[in-house]
Amino acid sequence: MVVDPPSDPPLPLAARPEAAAQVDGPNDAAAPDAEAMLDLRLVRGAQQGELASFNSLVRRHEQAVFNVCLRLLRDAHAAEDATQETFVKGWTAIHTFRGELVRPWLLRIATNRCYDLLRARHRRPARSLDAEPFEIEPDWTSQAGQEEHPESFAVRAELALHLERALAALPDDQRLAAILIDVQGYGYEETAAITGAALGTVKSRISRARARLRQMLRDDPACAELFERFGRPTED
Amino acid sequence: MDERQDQESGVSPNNAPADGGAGHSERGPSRRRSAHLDQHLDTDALSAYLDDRLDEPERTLAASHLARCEACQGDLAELQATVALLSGLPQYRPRRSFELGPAYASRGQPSRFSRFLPLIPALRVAAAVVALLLVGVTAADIRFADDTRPPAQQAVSRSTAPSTSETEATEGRQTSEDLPAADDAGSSAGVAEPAGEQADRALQAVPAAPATVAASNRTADTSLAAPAEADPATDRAPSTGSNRPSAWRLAEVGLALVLLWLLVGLVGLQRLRGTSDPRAGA
Ligand SMILES: [Zn+2]
Repeated sequence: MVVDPPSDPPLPLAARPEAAAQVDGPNDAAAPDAEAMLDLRLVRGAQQGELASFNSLVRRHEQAVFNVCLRLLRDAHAAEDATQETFVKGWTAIHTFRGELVRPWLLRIATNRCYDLLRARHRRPARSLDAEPFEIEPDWTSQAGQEEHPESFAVRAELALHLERALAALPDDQRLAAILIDVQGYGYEETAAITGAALGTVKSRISRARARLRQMLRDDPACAELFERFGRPTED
Repeated sequence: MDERQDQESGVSPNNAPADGGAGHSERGPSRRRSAHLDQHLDTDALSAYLDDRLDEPERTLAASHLARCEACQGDLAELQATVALLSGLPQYRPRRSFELGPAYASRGQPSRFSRFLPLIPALRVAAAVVALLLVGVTAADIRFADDTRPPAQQAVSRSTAPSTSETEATEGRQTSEDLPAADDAGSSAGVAEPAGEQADRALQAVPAAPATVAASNRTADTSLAAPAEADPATDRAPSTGSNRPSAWRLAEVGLALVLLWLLVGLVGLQRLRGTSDPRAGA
Protein backbone atom coordinates (compact mmCIF):
# COMPACT_ATOMS: atom_id res chain seq x y z
CA MET A 1 0.00 0.00 0.00
CA VAL A 2 2.75 2.37 0.96
CA VAL A 3 5.37 1.20 -1.48
CA ASP A 4 3.88 1.56 -4.89
CA PRO A 5 6.33 2.50 -7.64
CA PRO A 6 4.47 5.05 -9.68
CA SER A 7 6.34 4.34 -12.89
CA ASP A 8 5.27 0.83 -14.00
CA PRO A 9 2.22 -0.86 -12.65
CA PRO A 10 2.42 -4.52 -13.66
CA LEU A 11 -0.73 -4.77 -15.73
CA PRO A 12 0.02 -2.30 -18.55
CA LEU A 13 3.46 -3.86 -18.91
CA ALA A 14 2.01 -7.30 -19.41
CA ALA A 15 -0.53 -5.98 -21.86
CA ARG A 16 1.93 -4.06 -23.97
CA PRO A 17 3.12 -6.79 -26.38
CA GLU A 18 -0.42 -7.77 -27.27
CA ALA A 19 -1.46 -4.18 -27.76
CA ALA A 20 1.49 -3.61 -30.06
CA ALA A 21 0.59 -6.69 -32.08
CA GLN A 22 -2.91 -5.35 -32.49
CA VAL A 23 -1.75 -2.00 -33.75
CA ASP A 24 0.59 -3.69 -36.19
CA GLY A 25 -2.07 -5.94 -37.63
CA PRO A 26 -3.22 -4.26 -40.86
CA ASN A 27 -5.75 -7.00 -41.47
CA ASP A 28 -9.20 -5.48 -41.86
CA ALA A 29 -10.96 -8.65 -40.81
CA ALA A 30 -9.05 -8.69 -37.54
CA ALA A 31 -9.95 -5.11 -36.68
CA PRO A 32 -13.32 -5.70 -34.97
CA ASP A 33 -11.82 -8.58 -33.01
CA ALA A 34 -9.03 -6.36 -31.81
CA GLU A 35 -11.54 -3.77 -30.68
CA ALA A 36 -13.54 -6.40 -28.85
CA MET A 37 -10.41 -7.78 -27.22
CA LEU A 38 -9.34 -4.36 -26.07
CA ASP A 39 -12.83 -3.88 -24.63
CA LEU A 40 -12.55 -7.19 -22.82
CA ARG A 41 -9.19 -6.30 -21.37
CA LEU A 42 -10.59 -3.02 -20.11
CA VAL A 43 -13.55 -4.85 -18.60
CA ARG A 44 -11.20 -7.16 -16.78
CA GLY A 45 -9.32 -4.20 -15.43
CA ALA A 46 -12.54 -2.56 -14.32
CA GLN A 47 -13.63 -5.78 -12.66
CA GLN A 48 -10.46 -5.58 -10.59
CA GLY A 49 -11.46 -2.13 -9.47
CA GLU A 50 -9.52 0.02 -11.90
CA LEU A 51 -11.62 3.07 -12.55
CA ALA A 52 -9.20 4.19 -15.26
CA SER A 53 -9.92 1.05 -17.27
CA PHE A 54 -13.62 1.65 -16.97
CA ASN A 55 -13.24 5.27 -18.02
CA SER A 56 -11.44 4.04 -21.13
CA LEU A 57 -14.56 2.04 -21.89
CA VAL A 58 -16.63 5.17 -21.29
CA ARG A 59 -14.57 7.13 -23.79
CA ARG A 60 -14.83 4.34 -26.34
CA HIS A 61 -18.58 3.98 -26.14
CA GLU A 62 -20.03 7.22 -24.85
CA GLN A 63 -20.87 8.56 -28.27
CA ALA A 64 -22.76 5.42 -29.26
CA VAL A 65 -24.65 5.33 -25.98
CA PHE A 66 -25.42 9.03 -26.12
CA ASN A 67 -26.70 8.93 -29.70
CA VAL A 68 -28.98 5.99 -29.05
CA CYS A 69 -30.33 7.69 -25.93
CA LEU A 70 -30.75 10.96 -27.78
CA ARG A 71 -32.75 9.44 -30.61
CA LEU A 72 -34.89 7.45 -28.23
CA LEU A 73 -35.57 10.32 -25.83
CA ARG A 74 -35.33 13.24 -28.28
CA ASP A 75 -34.11 15.49 -25.51
CA ALA A 76 -30.45 16.33 -25.10
CA HIS A 77 -30.53 16.81 -21.34
CA ALA A 78 -32.48 13.63 -20.74
CA ALA A 79 -30.10 11.79 -23.07
CA GLU A 80 -27.09 13.10 -21.16
CA ASP A 81 -28.58 11.97 -17.88
CA ALA A 82 -29.47 8.56 -19.28
CA THR A 83 -25.96 8.18 -20.69
CA GLN A 84 -24.38 9.06 -17.36
CA GLU A 85 -26.70 6.68 -15.55
CA THR A 86 -25.82 3.95 -18.02
CA PHE A 87 -22.13 4.22 -17.21
CA VAL A 88 -22.69 4.45 -13.47
CA LYS A 89 -24.82 1.33 -13.67
CA GLY A 90 -22.21 -0.31 -15.86
CA TRP A 91 -19.51 0.43 -13.29
CA THR A 92 -21.49 -0.84 -10.36
CA ALA A 93 -22.57 -3.95 -12.28
CA ILE A 94 -19.29 -4.59 -14.10
CA HIS A 95 -18.83 -7.91 -12.30
CA THR A 96 -22.04 -9.20 -13.91
CA PHE A 97 -20.52 -8.83 -17.37
CA ARG A 98 -20.26 -12.32 -18.79
CA GLY A 99 -20.56 -11.84 -22.51
CA GLU A 100 -18.02 -11.15 -25.19
CA LEU A 101 -19.09 -7.76 -26.45
CA VAL A 102 -19.20 -4.65 -24.34
CA ARG A 103 -21.15 -2.31 -26.59
CA PRO A 104 -24.37 -4.34 -26.71
CA TRP A 105 -24.11 -4.83 -22.96
CA LEU A 106 -23.87 -1.09 -22.38
CA LEU A 107 -26.55 -0.31 -24.94
CA ARG A 108 -28.87 -2.76 -23.31
CA ILE A 109 -28.51 -0.90 -20.03
CA ALA A 110 -29.04 2.36 -21.90
CA THR A 111 -32.14 1.31 -23.80
CA ASN A 112 -33.71 -0.18 -20.70
CA ARG A 113 -33.14 3.11 -18.93
CA CYS A 114 -34.61 5.05 -21.86
CA TYR A 115 -37.67 2.81 -21.96
CA ASP A 116 -38.22 3.47 -18.26
CA LEU A 117 -38.02 7.19 -18.89
CA LEU A 118 -40.31 7.00 -21.90
CA ARG A 119 -42.85 5.05 -19.92
CA ALA A 120 -42.67 7.56 -17.10
CA ARG A 121 -43.07 10.37 -19.58
CA HIS A 122 -46.26 8.78 -20.92
CA ARG A 123 -45.00 9.55 -24.37
CA ARG A 124 -46.26 13.08 -24.65
CA PRO A 125 -47.38 13.31 -28.27
CA ALA A 126 -46.46 16.98 -28.53
CA ARG A 127 -42.79 16.05 -28.36
CA SER A 128 -42.85 13.96 -31.49
CA LEU A 129 -44.07 16.93 -33.52
CA ASP A 130 -41.09 19.09 -32.71
CA ALA A 131 -39.52 20.20 -35.94
CA GLU A 132 -36.18 20.67 -34.25
CA PRO A 133 -35.74 17.68 -32.06
CA PHE A 134 -32.38 18.24 -30.40
CA GLU A 135 -30.73 21.38 -29.20
CA ILE A 136 -27.30 20.07 -30.17
CA GLU A 137 -25.51 20.74 -33.40
CA PRO A 138 -25.38 17.60 -35.53
CA ASP A 139 -22.05 16.27 -36.61
CA TRP A 140 -22.66 15.63 -40.29
CA THR A 141 -19.02 15.26 -41.13
CA SER A 142 -18.67 12.02 -39.23
CA GLN A 143 -20.29 9.87 -41.90
CA ALA A 144 -20.76 11.96 -45.03
CA GLY A 145 -17.88 11.83 -47.43
CA GLN A 146 -16.39 15.21 -48.20
CA GLU A 147 -16.89 14.45 -51.86
CA GLU A 148 -20.66 14.69 -51.49
CA HIS A 149 -22.24 17.22 -53.80
CA PRO A 150 -23.50 20.28 -51.90
CA GLU A 151 -26.87 20.06 -53.61
CA SER A 152 -27.43 16.43 -52.74
CA PHE A 153 -26.30 17.21 -49.23
CA ALA A 154 -28.97 19.92 -49.02
CA VAL A 155 -31.62 17.43 -50.15
CA ARG A 156 -30.41 14.89 -47.65
CA ALA A 157 -30.37 17.40 -44.81
CA GLU A 158 -33.89 18.53 -45.67
CA LEU A 159 -35.13 14.96 -45.82
CA ALA A 160 -33.34 14.18 -42.57
CA LEU A 161 -35.57 16.63 -40.74
CA HIS A 162 -38.70 14.89 -42.01
CA LEU A 163 -37.18 11.53 -41.29
CA GLU A 164 -36.43 12.43 -37.68
CA ARG A 165 -40.05 13.38 -37.26
CA ALA A 166 -41.20 10.18 -38.91
CA LEU A 167 -38.88 8.19 -36.65
CA ALA A 168 -40.41 9.83 -33.61
CA ALA A 169 -43.83 8.66 -34.70
CA LEU A 170 -42.84 4.99 -34.84
CA PRO A 171 -43.74 2.56 -32.07
CA ASP A 172 -40.86 2.23 -29.63
CA ASP A 173 -39.70 -1.24 -30.65
CA GLN A 174 -39.65 -0.38 -34.35
CA ARG A 175 -37.92 2.91 -33.68
CA LEU A 176 -35.23 1.19 -31.66
CA ALA A 177 -34.69 -1.35 -34.44
CA ALA A 178 -34.36 1.43 -37.02
CA ILE A 179 -32.01 3.40 -34.80
CA LEU A 180 -29.77 0.46 -34.02
CA ILE A 181 -29.67 -1.18 -37.44
CA ASP A 182 -29.95 1.67 -39.91
CA VAL A 183 -28.86 4.81 -38.06
CA GLN A 184 -26.12 3.28 -35.94
CA GLY A 185 -25.30 0.54 -38.40
CA TYR A 186 -25.26 -2.38 -35.98
CA GLY A 187 -26.01 -5.88 -37.18
CA TYR A 188 -29.15 -7.91 -36.58
CA GLU A 189 -27.32 -10.08 -34.05
CA GLU A 190 -26.07 -7.16 -32.00
CA THR A 191 -29.51 -5.58 -32.15
CA ALA A 192 -31.02 -8.82 -30.93
CA ALA A 193 -28.53 -8.85 -28.06
CA ILE A 194 -29.30 -5.25 -27.13
CA THR A 195 -33.06 -5.59 -27.25
CA GLY A 196 -33.24 -9.12 -25.93
CA ALA A 197 -35.45 -10.07 -28.86
CA ALA A 198 -35.18 -13.07 -31.15
CA LEU A 199 -33.50 -12.63 -34.51
CA GLY A 200 -36.77 -13.16 -36.36
CA THR A 201 -38.41 -10.46 -34.26
CA VAL A 202 -35.60 -8.06 -35.08
CA LYS A 203 -36.04 -8.83 -38.79
CA SER A 204 -39.72 -8.11 -38.78
CA ARG A 205 -39.35 -4.99 -36.64
CA ILE A 206 -36.80 -3.43 -38.94
CA SER A 207 -38.87 -4.38 -41.96
CA ARG A 208 -41.99 -2.77 -40.53
CA ALA A 209 -40.05 0.27 -39.41
CA ARG A 210 -38.59 0.82 -42.86
CA ALA A 211 -41.92 0.29 -44.57
CA ARG A 212 -43.61 2.79 -42.30
CA LEU A 213 -40.91 5.39 -42.63
CA ARG A 214 -41.00 5.07 -46.38
CA GLN A 215 -44.75 5.42 -46.35
CA MET A 216 -44.58 8.52 -44.16
CA LEU A 217 -42.02 10.16 -46.42
CA ARG A 218 -44.15 9.43 -49.46
CA ASP A 219 -47.32 10.65 -47.84
CA ASP A 220 -45.85 13.90 -46.54
CA PRO A 221 -46.57 16.51 -49.22
CA ALA A 222 -43.70 18.60 -47.92
CA CYS A 223 -41.12 16.04 -48.89
CA ALA A 224 -42.70 13.45 -51.15
CA GLU A 225 -41.18 14.98 -54.26
CA LEU A 226 -37.80 15.34 -52.60
CA PHE A 227 -37.95 11.76 -51.49
CA GLU A 228 -38.88 10.67 -55.00
CA ARG A 229 -35.88 12.51 -56.40
CA PHE A 230 -33.58 11.12 -53.73
CA GLY A 231 -34.90 7.61 -54.28
CA ARG A 232 -34.06 7.49 -57.98
CA PRO A 233 -30.70 9.15 -58.39
CA THR A 234 -29.15 6.39 -60.47
CA GLU A 235 -31.27 6.62 -63.58
CA ASP A 236 -29.18 6.64 -66.72
CA MET B 1 -51.20 -3.56 -40.21
CA ASP B 2 -53.71 -2.31 -42.75
CA GLU B 3 -51.03 -0.04 -44.01
CA ARG B 4 -48.92 -2.92 -45.08
CA GLN B 5 -51.77 -4.60 -46.90
CA ASP B 6 -52.60 -1.34 -48.64
CA GLN B 7 -49.08 -0.85 -49.64
CA GLU B 8 -48.80 -4.22 -51.22
CA SER B 9 -52.15 -4.48 -52.85
CA GLY B 10 -52.29 -0.79 -53.58
CA VAL B 11 -48.95 -0.18 -55.14
CA SER B 12 -48.11 -3.33 -56.94
CA PRO B 13 -51.28 -3.94 -58.99
CA ASN B 14 -50.74 -0.65 -60.77
CA ASN B 15 -47.74 -2.19 -62.39
CA ALA B 16 -48.99 -5.73 -62.42
CA PRO B 17 -49.10 -5.94 -66.21
CA ALA B 18 -45.37 -5.55 -66.20
CA ASP B 19 -44.76 -9.01 -64.89
CA GLY B 20 -47.57 -10.69 -66.73
CA GLY B 21 -50.88 -12.18 -65.73
CA ALA B 22 -49.35 -15.08 -63.86
CA GLY B 23 -48.01 -12.87 -61.12
CA HIS B 24 -51.36 -11.24 -60.64
CA SER B 25 -53.33 -14.46 -60.33
CA GLU B 26 -50.92 -16.00 -57.85
CA ARG B 27 -51.06 -13.20 -55.37
CA GLY B 28 -53.07 -14.53 -52.49
CA PRO B 29 -52.73 -13.34 -48.92
CA SER B 30 -51.80 -16.81 -47.71
CA ARG B 31 -48.94 -17.30 -50.14
CA ARG B 32 -47.44 -13.89 -49.93
CA ARG B 33 -44.24 -14.93 -48.25
CA SER B 34 -43.32 -18.02 -50.20
CA ALA B 35 -41.54 -16.10 -52.94
CA HIS B 36 -42.76 -18.00 -55.95
CA LEU B 37 -41.12 -17.01 -59.13
CA ASP B 38 -43.73 -14.51 -60.21
CA GLN B 39 -44.94 -13.38 -56.86
CA HIS B 40 -44.37 -9.85 -55.67
CA LEU B 41 -42.01 -9.45 -52.78
CA ASP B 42 -43.50 -8.24 -49.55
CA THR B 43 -41.77 -5.70 -47.33
CA ASP B 44 -40.23 -8.39 -45.12
CA ALA B 45 -38.66 -10.03 -48.12
CA LEU B 46 -37.52 -6.71 -49.60
CA SER B 47 -36.03 -5.60 -46.32
CA ALA B 48 -34.22 -8.88 -45.83
CA TYR B 49 -33.06 -8.83 -49.46
CA LEU B 50 -31.65 -5.37 -48.92
CA ASP B 51 -29.57 -6.63 -46.01
CA ASP B 52 -28.66 -9.85 -47.78
CA ARG B 53 -30.54 -11.76 -45.11
CA LEU B 54 -32.52 -14.10 -47.34
CA ASP B 55 -31.66 -17.76 -47.34
CA GLU B 56 -30.42 -19.17 -50.57
CA PRO B 57 -33.45 -20.46 -52.42
CA GLU B 58 -35.44 -17.32 -51.55
CA ARG B 59 -32.59 -15.05 -52.42
CA THR B 60 -32.27 -16.34 -55.97
CA LEU B 61 -36.01 -16.29 -56.47
CA ALA B 62 -36.24 -12.74 -55.18
CA ALA B 63 -33.39 -11.63 -57.42
CA SER B 64 -34.93 -13.17 -60.50
CA HIS B 65 -38.30 -11.68 -59.69
CA LEU B 66 -36.79 -8.27 -59.13
CA ALA B 67 -35.06 -8.49 -62.48
CA ARG B 68 -38.40 -8.69 -64.20
CA CYS B 69 -40.77 -6.74 -61.96
CA GLU B 70 -40.74 -2.97 -62.11
CA ALA B 71 -43.15 -2.65 -59.23
CA CYS B 72 -40.88 -4.51 -56.87
CA GLN B 73 -37.88 -2.66 -58.24
CA GLY B 74 -39.62 0.59 -57.32
CA ASP B 75 -40.46 -0.69 -53.87
CA LEU B 76 -36.92 -1.83 -53.34
CA ALA B 77 -35.51 1.49 -54.53
CA GLU B 78 -37.67 3.46 -52.13
CA LEU B 79 -36.85 1.15 -49.27
CA GLN B 80 -33.20 1.49 -50.16
CA ALA B 81 -33.54 5.28 -50.20
CA THR B 82 -35.16 5.16 -46.77
CA VAL B 83 -32.31 3.07 -45.42
CA ALA B 84 -29.77 5.38 -47.04
CA LEU B 85 -31.41 8.38 -45.42
CA LEU B 86 -31.46 6.66 -42.05
CA SER B 87 -27.82 5.72 -42.21
CA GLY B 88 -27.04 9.25 -43.35
CA LEU B 89 -28.59 10.83 -40.30
CA PRO B 90 -26.01 12.79 -38.38
CA GLN B 91 -24.36 11.58 -35.22
CA TYR B 92 -24.30 13.94 -32.30
CA ARG B 93 -21.19 14.68 -30.35
CA PRO B 94 -21.79 14.62 -26.61
CA ARG B 95 -21.36 18.05 -25.08
CA ARG B 96 -19.53 16.63 -22.12
CA SER B 97 -17.58 13.62 -20.98
CA PHE B 98 -19.32 10.81 -19.15
CA GLU B 99 -16.26 9.49 -17.39
CA LEU B 100 -16.78 8.68 -13.76
CA GLY B 101 -15.17 10.95 -11.21
CA PRO B 102 -12.54 9.76 -8.71
CA ALA B 103 -15.26 9.45 -6.07
CA TYR B 104 -16.33 6.24 -7.77
CA ALA B 105 -12.90 4.70 -7.35
CA SER B 106 -13.26 4.50 -3.58
CA ARG B 107 -16.96 4.26 -2.96
CA GLY B 108 -18.34 3.14 -6.26
CA GLN B 109 -16.37 -0.05 -6.73
CA PRO B 110 -18.70 -2.52 -5.16
CA SER B 111 -18.04 -5.14 -7.76
CA ARG B 112 -18.06 -7.97 -5.28
CA PHE B 113 -20.76 -6.82 -2.93
CA SER B 114 -23.30 -5.03 -5.08
CA ARG B 115 -24.81 -8.38 -5.95
CA PHE B 116 -26.05 -8.50 -2.35
CA LEU B 117 -28.00 -5.26 -2.78
CA PRO B 118 -31.28 -7.11 -3.31
CA LEU B 119 -30.77 -8.73 0.11
CA ILE B 120 -31.21 -5.45 1.97
CA PRO B 121 -34.88 -6.05 2.88
CA ALA B 122 -34.12 -9.60 4.02
CA LEU B 123 -31.18 -8.34 6.05
CA ARG B 124 -33.44 -5.80 7.73
CA VAL B 125 -35.88 -8.52 8.70
CA ALA B 126 -33.07 -10.74 9.93
CA ALA B 127 -31.59 -7.92 11.99
CA ALA B 128 -34.99 -7.19 13.52
CA VAL B 129 -35.54 -10.85 14.37
CA VAL B 130 -32.10 -11.18 15.92
CA ALA B 131 -32.59 -7.97 17.87
CA LEU B 132 -35.88 -9.28 19.23
CA LEU B 133 -34.23 -12.55 20.14
CA LEU B 134 -31.45 -10.69 21.88
CA VAL B 135 -33.93 -8.61 23.85
CA GLY B 136 -35.87 -11.72 24.77
CA VAL B 137 -32.84 -13.68 25.84
CA THR B 138 -31.48 -10.76 27.83
CA ALA B 139 -34.80 -10.23 29.54
CA ALA B 140 -35.01 -13.88 30.44
CA ASP B 141 -31.42 -13.82 31.67
CA ILE B 142 -32.05 -10.85 33.90
CA ARG B 143 -35.17 -12.46 35.22
CA PHE B 144 -33.32 -15.64 36.09
CA ALA B 145 -30.42 -13.78 37.63
CA ASP B 146 -32.90 -12.02 39.90
CA ASP B 147 -34.65 -15.21 40.81
CA THR B 148 -31.45 -17.13 41.52
CA ARG B 149 -33.25 -20.32 40.90
CA PRO B 150 -31.69 -23.76 41.09
CA PRO B 151 -29.92 -24.70 37.88
CA ALA B 152 -32.42 -27.41 37.08
CA GLN B 153 -35.13 -24.85 36.53
CA GLN B 154 -32.89 -22.64 34.47
CA ALA B 155 -32.35 -25.56 32.16
CA VAL B 156 -36.08 -26.01 31.87
CA SER B 157 -36.54 -22.53 30.64
CA ARG B 158 -33.89 -23.18 28.06
CA SER B 159 -35.60 -26.26 26.76
CA THR B 160 -38.98 -24.61 26.60
CA ALA B 161 -38.12 -21.23 25.22
CA PRO B 162 -36.56 -22.37 21.94
CA SER B 163 -39.27 -24.92 21.34
CA THR B 164 -41.81 -22.15 21.20
CA SER B 165 -41.80 -19.72 18.32
CA GLU B 166 -39.17 -17.00 18.01
CA THR B 167 -41.51 -14.19 18.80
CA GLU B 168 -42.56 -15.84 21.99
CA ALA B 169 -38.96 -15.94 23.04
CA THR B 170 -39.15 -12.20 23.40
CA GLU B 171 -41.74 -12.70 26.08
CA GLY B 172 -39.18 -14.27 28.32
CA ARG B 173 -41.01 -13.21 31.43
CA GLN B 174 -44.10 -15.10 30.51
CA THR B 175 -42.05 -18.19 29.77
CA SER B 176 -40.39 -18.01 33.11
CA GLU B 177 -43.75 -17.84 34.84
CA ASP B 178 -44.71 -21.07 33.14
CA LEU B 179 -41.65 -22.71 34.56
CA PRO B 180 -42.95 -24.40 37.71
CA ALA B 181 -45.52 -26.28 35.65
CA ALA B 182 -42.78 -27.63 33.42
CA ASP B 183 -40.62 -28.98 36.22
CA ASP B 184 -40.66 -32.59 35.10
CA ALA B 185 -39.46 -31.61 31.64
CA GLY B 186 -36.37 -30.20 33.30
CA SER B 187 -35.61 -33.35 35.21
CA SER B 188 -36.07 -35.46 32.11
CA ALA B 189 -33.28 -33.43 30.53
CA GLY B 190 -31.00 -34.83 33.29
CA VAL B 191 -29.53 -31.48 34.20
CA ALA B 192 -29.04 -31.67 37.91
CA GLU B 193 -25.33 -31.16 38.47
CA PRO B 194 -23.21 -29.81 41.31
CA ALA B 195 -22.66 -26.07 41.06
CA GLY B 196 -18.86 -26.40 41.15
CA GLU B 197 -18.81 -28.60 38.11
CA GLN B 198 -20.93 -26.07 36.28
CA ALA B 199 -18.45 -23.33 36.99
CA ASP B 200 -15.68 -25.50 35.55
CA ARG B 201 -17.65 -26.18 32.44
CA ALA B 202 -18.37 -22.51 32.09
CA LEU B 203 -14.66 -21.83 31.96
CA GLN B 204 -14.21 -24.56 29.40
CA ALA B 205 -17.03 -23.12 27.39
CA VAL B 206 -15.19 -19.88 26.76
CA PRO B 207 -13.01 -21.32 23.96
CA ALA B 208 -16.16 -22.79 22.50
CA ALA B 209 -17.66 -19.35 22.07
CA PRO B 210 -16.67 -18.98 18.40
CA ALA B 211 -18.51 -22.20 17.64
CA THR B 212 -21.59 -20.79 19.25
CA VAL B 213 -21.27 -17.64 17.22
CA ALA B 214 -20.86 -19.70 14.10
CA ALA B 215 -24.01 -21.60 14.96
CA SER B 216 -25.82 -18.34 15.51
CA ASN B 217 -24.53 -17.06 12.19
CA ARG B 218 -26.05 -20.06 10.58
CA THR B 219 -29.22 -19.15 12.34
CA ALA B 220 -29.16 -15.76 10.70
CA ASP B 221 -28.47 -17.28 7.31
CA THR B 222 -31.31 -19.71 7.47
CA SER B 223 -33.64 -17.06 8.76
CA LEU B 224 -32.84 -15.09 5.63
CA ALA B 225 -34.16 -17.87 3.48
CA ALA B 226 -36.98 -19.14 5.64
CA PRO B 227 -37.46 -17.55 9.04
CA ALA B 228 -39.63 -20.46 10.13
CA GLU B 229 -36.69 -22.82 9.90
CA ALA B 230 -34.61 -20.89 12.36
CA ASP B 231 -35.99 -22.77 15.35
CA PRO B 232 -33.82 -25.91 15.18
CA ALA B 233 -30.73 -23.75 14.87
CA THR B 234 -31.62 -21.60 17.83
CA ASP B 235 -32.16 -24.82 19.68
CA ARG B 236 -28.64 -25.85 18.89
CA ALA B 237 -26.97 -22.73 20.17
CA PRO B 238 -28.10 -22.93 23.78
CA SER B 239 -27.74 -26.71 23.85
CA THR B 240 -23.98 -26.43 23.42
CA GLY B 241 -23.87 -24.61 26.70
CA SER B 242 -26.58 -26.70 28.27
CA ASN B 243 -26.50 -27.05 32.06
CA ARG B 244 -24.23 -24.07 32.47
CA PRO B 245 -25.31 -20.76 33.89
CA SER B 246 -23.12 -18.92 31.35
CA ALA B 247 -25.15 -20.30 28.47
CA TRP B 248 -27.33 -17.22 28.62
CA ARG B 249 -24.31 -15.00 28.40
CA LEU B 250 -23.00 -17.00 25.47
CA ALA B 251 -26.32 -16.71 23.72
CA GLU B 252 -26.38 -13.00 24.36
CA VAL B 253 -22.86 -12.50 23.10
CA GLY B 254 -23.56 -14.67 20.09
CA LEU B 255 -26.74 -12.84 19.25
CA ALA B 256 -25.09 -9.50 19.77
CA LEU B 257 -22.28 -10.50 17.43
CA VAL B 258 -24.74 -11.66 14.81
CA LEU B 259 -26.67 -8.44 15.19
CA LEU B 260 -23.52 -6.41 14.84
CA TRP B 261 -22.56 -8.39 11.76
CA LEU B 262 -25.97 -7.84 10.22
CA LEU B 263 -25.94 -4.14 10.99
CA VAL B 264 -22.50 -3.66 9.54
CA GLY B 265 -23.62 -5.49 6.42
CA LEU B 266 -26.76 -3.42 6.23
CA VAL B 267 -25.01 -0.10 6.65
CA GLY B 268 -22.37 -1.11 4.12
CA LEU B 269 -24.92 -2.20 1.55
CA GLN B 270 -27.02 0.89 2.03
CA ARG B 271 -24.03 3.08 1.53
CA LEU B 272 -23.16 1.10 -1.53
CA ARG B 273 -26.62 1.68 -2.88
CA GLY B 274 -26.08 5.36 -2.31
CA THR B 275 -23.16 5.38 -4.71
CA SER B 276 -25.45 4.21 -7.50
CA ASP B 277 -26.79 7.72 -7.53
CA PRO B 278 -25.55 9.13 -10.83
CA ARG B 279 -24.82 12.52 -9.33
CA ALA B 280 -22.64 11.11 -6.57
CA GLY B 281 -19.46 11.42 -8.59
CA ALA B 282 -20.31 14.37 -10.79
ZN1 LIG C 1 -43.07 -7.80 -58.16
